[in-house]
Amino acid sequence: MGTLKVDTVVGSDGTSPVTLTKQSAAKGHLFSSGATPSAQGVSLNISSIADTSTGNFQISLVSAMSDNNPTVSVSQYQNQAIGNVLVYNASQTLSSTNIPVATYNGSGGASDFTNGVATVFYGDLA
Amino acid sequence: MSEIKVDSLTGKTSAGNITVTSEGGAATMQLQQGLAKALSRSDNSATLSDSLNIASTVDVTIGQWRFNKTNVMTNANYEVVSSAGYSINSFTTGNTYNTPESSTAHTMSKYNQHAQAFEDFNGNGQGNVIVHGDLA
Repeated sequence: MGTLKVDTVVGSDGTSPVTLTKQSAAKGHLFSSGATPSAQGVSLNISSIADTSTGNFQISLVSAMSDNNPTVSVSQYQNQAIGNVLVYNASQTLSSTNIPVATYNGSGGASDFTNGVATVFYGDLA
Repeated sequence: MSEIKVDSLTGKTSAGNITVTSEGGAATMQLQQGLAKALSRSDNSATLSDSLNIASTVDVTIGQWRFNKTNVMTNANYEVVSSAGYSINSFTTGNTYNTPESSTAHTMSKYNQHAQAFEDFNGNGQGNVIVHGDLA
């Protein structure tokens, strides 16, 4: 077995990312919880969380994505009254630097998910 | 800080197996296993705005979209997760779910649990799909 000890791996031009052939690494993740959502545990590429209104919060990124269409997955932790969580809704805008999240109760009303929401996003960084 | 400049990483003993050490240093894992193998962000007609390893999309029927991969998985048992973005009506009580149909294709479906029926996205609705597992 060969072992290479190194702190950083970059493309041969010195700046580009190494090609992960046919594959993609996550560009950020967050587990947040509470009526005023806050980060729990380890997160990646998250600068802040804004509680914009009941059932709505917005995640700001440290390093921006290359466009306004990152692929985002959100899931609730534990059953929040058979509710649903969306990447964003009609009053929010997904962008290269902000990921809005909307959470709803079983009746379709905006509701804070105090048990928590996990967010993972992929795509190209700027 | 040490830095290595390289265009491609390949395992020495096994080409598809590069071991990396955990953040805490207590464990190791295979680099490839932590990487997503396919991504898609698509609208109501399965038109892609962001993707990885997606060769084509099919608007199968109301509330269901199929994604055909360029590079196939090792089998039909892999992980597909999805989330919806934006919907102005009943999808606030809806769900998305996913089906790995084969090593080549998987589907995302959108279900309105209030109406007990499949439905398309409203307006600017988008489906986000992430695939993990082993490539062939």
